[in-house]
Amino acid sequence: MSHPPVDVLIIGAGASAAAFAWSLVDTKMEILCLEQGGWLNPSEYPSSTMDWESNNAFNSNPNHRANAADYPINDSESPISVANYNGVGGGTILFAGHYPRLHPSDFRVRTLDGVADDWPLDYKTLEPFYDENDRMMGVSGLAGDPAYPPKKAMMPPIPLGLTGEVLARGFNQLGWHWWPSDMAIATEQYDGRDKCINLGACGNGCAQGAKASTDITYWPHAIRAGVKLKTGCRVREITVDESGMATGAVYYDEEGKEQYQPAAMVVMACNGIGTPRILLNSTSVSFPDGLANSSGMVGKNLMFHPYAAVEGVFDDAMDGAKGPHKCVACHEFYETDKERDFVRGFSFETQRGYGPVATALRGVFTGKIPKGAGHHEAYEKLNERIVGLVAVCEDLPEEHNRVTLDPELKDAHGIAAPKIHYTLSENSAKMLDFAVARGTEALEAAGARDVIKQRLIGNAGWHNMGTARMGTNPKTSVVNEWGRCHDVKNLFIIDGSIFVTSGGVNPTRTIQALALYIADKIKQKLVTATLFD
Amino acid sequence: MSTEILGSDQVFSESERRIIAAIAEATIGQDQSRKLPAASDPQVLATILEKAANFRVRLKEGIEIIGSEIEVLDTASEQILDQLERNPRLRSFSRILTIVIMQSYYQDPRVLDSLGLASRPPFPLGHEVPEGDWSLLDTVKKRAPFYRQV
Repeated sequence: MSHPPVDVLIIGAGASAAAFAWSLVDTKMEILCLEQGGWLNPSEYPSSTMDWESNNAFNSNPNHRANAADYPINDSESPISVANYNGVGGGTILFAGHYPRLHPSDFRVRTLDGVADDWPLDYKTLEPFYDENDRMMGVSGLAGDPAYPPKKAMMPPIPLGLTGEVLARGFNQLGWHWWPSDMAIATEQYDGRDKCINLGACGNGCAQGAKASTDITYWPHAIRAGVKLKTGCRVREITVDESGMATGAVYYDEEGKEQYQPAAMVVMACNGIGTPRILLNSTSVSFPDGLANSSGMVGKNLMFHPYAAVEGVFDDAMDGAKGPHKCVACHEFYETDKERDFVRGFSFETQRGYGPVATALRGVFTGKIPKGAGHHEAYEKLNERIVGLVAVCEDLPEEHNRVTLDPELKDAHGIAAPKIHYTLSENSAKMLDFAVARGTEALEAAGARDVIKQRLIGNAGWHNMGTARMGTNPKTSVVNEWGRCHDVKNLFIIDGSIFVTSGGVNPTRTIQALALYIADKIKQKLVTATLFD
Repeated sequence: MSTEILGSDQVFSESERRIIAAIAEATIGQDQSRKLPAASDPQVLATILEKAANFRVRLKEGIEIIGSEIEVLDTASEQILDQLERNPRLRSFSRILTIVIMQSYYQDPRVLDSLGLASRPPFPLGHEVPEGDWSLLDTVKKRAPFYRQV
């Protein structure tokens, strides 16, 4: 069945789509967003029930979660499994709300360090869009961080708590940088949302509404202004005409019926895995290797952030699961240092503590808590006494790290599932080793009596970037410097796929700033009637 | 609330349930001094069985394998755990069941009470978190900007 055409068709309703739709609604164009998942009801989040740590419907691994909205991902050839959420709000439903910006140097990696590529835009260009996004999402933090160019604080920072305080003492003893984390969590009432009450369950949905998932930030504003959002719609492919322009999308509705939505402009916002999946699945005479893929770069250059975890066990009780997971960050090792045996760097973010189930599982699987005799005594020694640091390591783009279509695995609608091919680079491996050593030093300086080390967290593929990279050269990139596909002039990509490099921080704030920037560029080009030139 | 499960609703047979209960008891035993139940306690076991149903195929396979190796119900806890630890054919079964047991045990209000933890869901009451000593940041505030100039 075909529907009346719209001006703008957005695929996916996560972090980037929400910001983009809200910005573009100024134009009075007819904007429709198709989302494969549904709306979440915050009152049904796990934090309202005793099994808040183990509710599988909110598992971050889509293969384990296997909700109706999910598609399977073959990750058998990757040491890192993809984490995501499919629904209105996308990954922001489950993210921790840790919300740093990229650094200015992240946009100039080739110039500064001779690796990867420079971005076709810079921090200064993106800065006003970071600011605009901050106003829409609501960010807590503290101005004056010497690791960054000046940026305004909007709401007071998340409390340090016992955990933040003990880590701060450790960092101070070593003379290292630390700063209260910028967080997409309201510490005061903000834009109709209530303030954080330290549920400590940020990772499976914020029932309080303090965490800025886009279903409660951008989307209500965008919808009130006229954007339409249809849920339960799984897009199979983007269609094109003889001239190579996008014409719309074929999708399956909630009842599994095939539908066709024509559009004058199509915008991909399905994250670094979902976007290349749909593009590769959109083959035609004009694009036999997948849509917008004349460069062969669709799906390639997949970057995760390899995460190392270092956890200290303290004699005294810390915050445990009380409060947002993240409170302070350390950017001491963010920039390249020629004395090290790797380029680029990483940031440390805190893991404030763990709930009772997570404590037990960590203890048992690291051998700190035995099964059987001695279980209870050992548990007591870890109960609310584990404090963690995770290193968010910059991953450099490599073509062999990629997303392809699995030849056999399919989703419930028979659409080919994505397959991840990923190996850890030597640079990342050295960075992880270095990060574990530094994290251990920090925790010991903070007074930890024991340190648990995990060189690579396997189930932390939250940040999926680079699989439809930006660039000015159509032979080596998929989209231009403002998100328009080189090959298809009315097809845009606005999610983490377009990242040129990954930086060493969580990407959501940059993804959203980029989406606002691209929307702004589109508005400018509309005024001058040069959008599809 | 009754923890009895209707026979027609049960995913696991009586003997499978008894084996799961024996493994749960071996994994986390009762501790009267701490007022902590065993993981085979009826309420905890009901949760275990409910969660285990999501993994029924792999758990039933594992139960069959361990049953072919030892008489679980007539075997001491240490030997059950030893079998689970050392038998490579039981690795996946052991991991899944361990996760399910820990998830079920450490959400039980009696267990949480004994550990001094909040025996309620986080929402709607939330938690108190101390603000902390922000003067610790004074030395960092004095540091000159060190982000790389481009």
